[in-house]
Amino acid sequence: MNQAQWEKLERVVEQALSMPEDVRVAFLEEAFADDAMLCREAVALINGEKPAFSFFDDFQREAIAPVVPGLQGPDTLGDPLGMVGRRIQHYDVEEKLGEGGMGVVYRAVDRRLQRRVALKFLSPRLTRDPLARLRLTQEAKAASALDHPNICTVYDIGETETGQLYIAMAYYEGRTLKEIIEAGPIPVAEVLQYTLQMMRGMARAHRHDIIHRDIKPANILVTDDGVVKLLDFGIARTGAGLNFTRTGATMGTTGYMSPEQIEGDKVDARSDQWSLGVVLYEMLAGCRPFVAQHAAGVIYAILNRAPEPLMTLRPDLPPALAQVVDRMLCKAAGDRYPDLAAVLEALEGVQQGPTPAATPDDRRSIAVLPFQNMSSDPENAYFCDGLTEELINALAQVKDLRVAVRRSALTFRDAGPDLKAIGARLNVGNVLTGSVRKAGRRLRVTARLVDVRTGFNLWSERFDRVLDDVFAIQDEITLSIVRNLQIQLVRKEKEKLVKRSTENLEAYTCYLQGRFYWNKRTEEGLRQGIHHFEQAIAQDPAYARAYAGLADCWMMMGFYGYISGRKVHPRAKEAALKACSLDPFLAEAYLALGGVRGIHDRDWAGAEAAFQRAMTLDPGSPQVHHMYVGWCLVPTGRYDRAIEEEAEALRLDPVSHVYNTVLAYAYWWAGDFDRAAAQARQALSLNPYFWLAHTALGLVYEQTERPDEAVAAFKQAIAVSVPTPRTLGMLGHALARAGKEARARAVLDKMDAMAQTQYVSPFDRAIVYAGLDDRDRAFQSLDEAEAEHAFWLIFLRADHRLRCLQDDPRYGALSKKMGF
Amino acid sequence: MRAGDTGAFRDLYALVYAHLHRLAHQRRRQWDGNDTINTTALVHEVYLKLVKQEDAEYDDASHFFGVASRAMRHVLIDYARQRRAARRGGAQVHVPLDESIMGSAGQIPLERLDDLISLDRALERLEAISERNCRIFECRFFGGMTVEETARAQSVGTATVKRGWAMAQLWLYRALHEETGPA
Repeated sequence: MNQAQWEKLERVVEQALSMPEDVRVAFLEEAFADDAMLCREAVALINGEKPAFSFFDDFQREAIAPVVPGLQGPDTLGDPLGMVGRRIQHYDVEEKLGEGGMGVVYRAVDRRLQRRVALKFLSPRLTRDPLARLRLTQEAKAASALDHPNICTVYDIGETETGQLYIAMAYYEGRTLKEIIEAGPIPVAEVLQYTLQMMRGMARAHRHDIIHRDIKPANILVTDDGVVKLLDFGIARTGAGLNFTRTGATMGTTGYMSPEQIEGDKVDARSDQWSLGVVLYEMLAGCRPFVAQHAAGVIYAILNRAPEPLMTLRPDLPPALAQVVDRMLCKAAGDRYPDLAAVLEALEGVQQGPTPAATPDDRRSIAVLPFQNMSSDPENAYFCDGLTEELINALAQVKDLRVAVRRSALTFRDAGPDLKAIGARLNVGNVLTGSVRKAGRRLRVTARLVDVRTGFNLWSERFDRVLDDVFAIQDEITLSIVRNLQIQLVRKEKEKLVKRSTENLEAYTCYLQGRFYWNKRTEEGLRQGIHHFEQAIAQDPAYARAYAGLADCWMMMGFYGYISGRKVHPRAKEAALKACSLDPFLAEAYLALGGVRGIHDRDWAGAEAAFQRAMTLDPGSPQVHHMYVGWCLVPTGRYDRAIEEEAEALRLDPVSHVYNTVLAYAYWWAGDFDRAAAQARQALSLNPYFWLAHTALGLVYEQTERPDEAVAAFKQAIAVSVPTPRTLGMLGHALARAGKEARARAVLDKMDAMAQTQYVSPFDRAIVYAGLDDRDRAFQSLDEAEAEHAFWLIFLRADHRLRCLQDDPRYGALSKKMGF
Repeated sequence: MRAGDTGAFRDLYALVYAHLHRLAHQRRRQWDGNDTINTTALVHEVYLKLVKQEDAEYDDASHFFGVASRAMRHVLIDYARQRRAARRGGAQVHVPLDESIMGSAGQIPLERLDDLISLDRALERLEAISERNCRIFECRFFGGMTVEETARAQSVGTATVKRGWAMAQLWLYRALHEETGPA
C-alpha cells in the first residue's frame, strides 16, 4: 500500500464511520470501485469498529492506566476488598482506615486477645502478584525486626482462606504528622520532640541496616499519648537477606524523596536523613521545601533548587536550627550529616528562641502537691513521690498548661490546707492534691483538683485498682485535669504522657524508689538509691533511665565526698555510657556522662558536648541547666553564662532551694558578692535547714571581710545537718582567716579523727591549709585531691579561697593536670 | 533544544510530567505529594530513557510529549518482555525486573503483557505504512494525551489526529486479531 492509497483509505474509512451502519458497505464499494483490494481492506476495518475500539479501551485501562496517572479511574472508595464485617481468622474487620499505593488498611478486633489491631492487605490488583506479596512479607519482617517504641509494632503475618496475604499491626489512636501539620503551626519545642522521637526510631532501623525510604508525614503517627510511631516499612530496604529492590530503583514519595532516590542512585541512611529534613522543614514552615503545581516541578526543585530559607518563613526560629535543616537538605548526600547521631549533635547547638514572657493565665496553670502516703508502711513514700513526679511530667507535656515544675511543689509536702497561699506562692490557679494508700498490690489513689481562687473542687476521684494499673491511673488523672481546666484539646493535644523507657512495672517501681533515695543526697540515701537502680536493671537490663540513675548516684557519692572520686569513676562511667547507648536520646543519661567526662576524664570539650546534647534533648528540664552550671560552665570559667543557666533552672523551678542556693554560688564564683548574699538569703528563706545555703552565705562573708559572720554561718551549716569533711573544711578555712589559727588546726585534727571511720577528701584539708597560708601542705593535699579525682577540685579556678595560690608555679602545674 | 543538555532536559521532562498529571488533577484531588511514587515511576523511567538519547532533538515541549509517549511505549514493552522472560526462565532468574515500575506495572494482567508485545510488533508494521498514525497512536494510547495535545505534539490538525487515531486502532486490531492480518 502506498502513501496515497493509505491516505485515501483513511479518509474513506473515516467518512464511512460517520455514516449509519447499513449504508457503509455500499459507500465503501462505491468509493473503492476501482480497487477491490482496498475495498476489502476497508470493509474489514469498518467491521472491526466496535470490537477494536472497545479492545483498545480495555487494553489501555488494564495495561496503561496503572502506570499513566491521567488514565486511572476514580479512586476506589469504601471497601475495595470487601473486608468490612468479615471475620478473618480471629480478627473481626471493622472499618477501612486507609489506602496507599500498595495496600489497604483496615481496623479490626483481635478476638483472642480482645484488642484492636490494624490489618494491612494488598490492593485488589496486587493480591496475587508474587512480588507484591514478597514485599508485604518483607515489610512485616523489616518492622518486626525493629522492636522499638517509635516503630509501629507488627504482630503477625497471615493469609485468608482465599489466599489474601495480610499483616496484623498495632492499632494506635492518634493523628498522622500530616494531619498535625495541616492543623496549624507547631511550637518549636514540640517539633523538636517529634523529631527526636522520629530519629530514635530511624536510628534503630539504620542500626539494623534498614533504610525506610518513605519517610513522610503521612507515614508518621503521633499517638494520643504523644508517642511517635514510624509506619509503613513497605519499601524499606534491608542490607541483608532477600534484596529485591535493585540499585537504580525509584520508590518513595515525590515530595520527600532525596535527589539520589529520584535519580535512581544507590540510597543509604542519608537519604532518610534528607526526608526527615523535609519533614522537619515542613513542621517548622508549614509548607514543604520543594513545592510546585505538579510533581514534575517538585522533582525539578528537589534536584535543582534551594528551598526558601526557613528564616524567611519563620523568623522566630533559632538560626542554628535553620542551619541544621539546611544541611540535612544538601543535594549531595556527602554534604549532609554522616548519620543521625551527627544530626542530633548539631541540634545541640540549637538554643531555644526567646521564650515569650510568661503571661500568667491562672486558669491554665497548675501545681501538683505531693500525694500523701496513707499506707501503713512509710516506705511507700517513694511511690507517692514517684506518682507526683510522673503526673507533673505528664502535665508538663500538655500544651497551654503551665506547670509549677517538679520539685518546687514538693516543698509543700507538709503544707497545711492553705491552698490559696500555695497558689499565690507558685503563681498558679489550680492545685492538684491527693493521697495514695498501698497495701500489697492493691492501690487506692484519690485525687482532687482545686481552683485556688474559689477553693472549689473542680474534680475529684477515687481509683481502687491494683498496682499494675498505675500507668492507667496516671493517664486518667492527667486526662481529667486537662478536661477540667477546659484546655482546648484537639486530639493531638490530649495529654502527652511522660516517656517511659520500660514497660516492666517492677523495674519502674524500683526506679521510682531509686530516685526517691537519690533525692535525699545523704550517703545512706545514695547507697539505697544504687541498690534500687541495680534492682531495676536486674528486672529490665535495657532500662536506660535506671542506668542513668545509677550513674547519678555514684556521681553524687563523689560530689559530696562520701567516697573517693577514684572509686566513683569506673562505676559512674560504665553506667553513664550504658544509659547513653541504650537510649541516645535520654537527657539524664548525658548529664551523668558530662560529669564523668569533665570531672574524671578532664575532657572539658567532651563534657560540654554531653551537656549540650542533654540541653537539646530536654531544654525544659531545670536539672539539665543546673548540672551544666556546676559540672561544666564554672570549672571552665564561664561565670556569666553560669549565672544565666542557673537562673533558667530557677525560672523553671522557682522554689527549688537547691537552684536558689547554687545561683548564690554562681554569683559568688563570678565575684558578685552583693547578689550572692541576697540570693543566699532568698534560698534560706525557702529552707532554713539547707546546709549548702548557709555555706554560700559564709563564703560571701569571707570575701567581704566579715570573718566572724563567716565562721557563724559555717557553724550554722554544720548545726542544721551533720558535720562532714566538706563543712568542716569550710569552717577551718574561715577560722584561719579570722585569725583563729589554733582552732583551725583543731579542725584539721577533727578531720583526721573522722578519717578513721569515713572517707575524707584531701580537697577539704587543702582548703584549711590554704586558709592557714601553709602552701606546701595545701599543694600536697591538692595534688592528692587531683590524684583521687576529688570533685570540688573542678572549682580550682573559681574558688576564691584558692585564688591566693595562683602566683605559685605549682598552681599552674595543677591547673594543667585538670585540663584547664 | 538538545537532549544532551540535562538542565534544559529536566525542564522538558517537568513539562511532560505536568501534562500527565493534569488529567489526574481533573478527576482527583490536588496533587499533594503524598502519593507513593507508583503512579509516577513510569514517567520517571521515560525521563531516564530520554536523557540517554543524546542525539535526539526536540522542537518544543509538545514535541517532547510525543517523544515521551514513545519512550513510554518502549519502557512498557521492555518490561513486558522481561516479565515474560522471567516467567519462562523460572523464578530464579530476572526476578528483580525493574523495581521502579513494578509498583505500578505489577498491576498489569499477564495476558496484557503478551498483548503489549504483539502490539509493539504491529506498531512497527504500522509505522512502515504510516509513521504519522503510529505516532498519533503512541500519544493517545501510551501517553494518555488528548486529541488537541496530540495535534500539537505531532504538528498536525485535530481532524488528522481523530482520523489517524481511529484508523490506527482499526488497523492494529486487525493486525492483532486476524490470522491474515491487514494488507
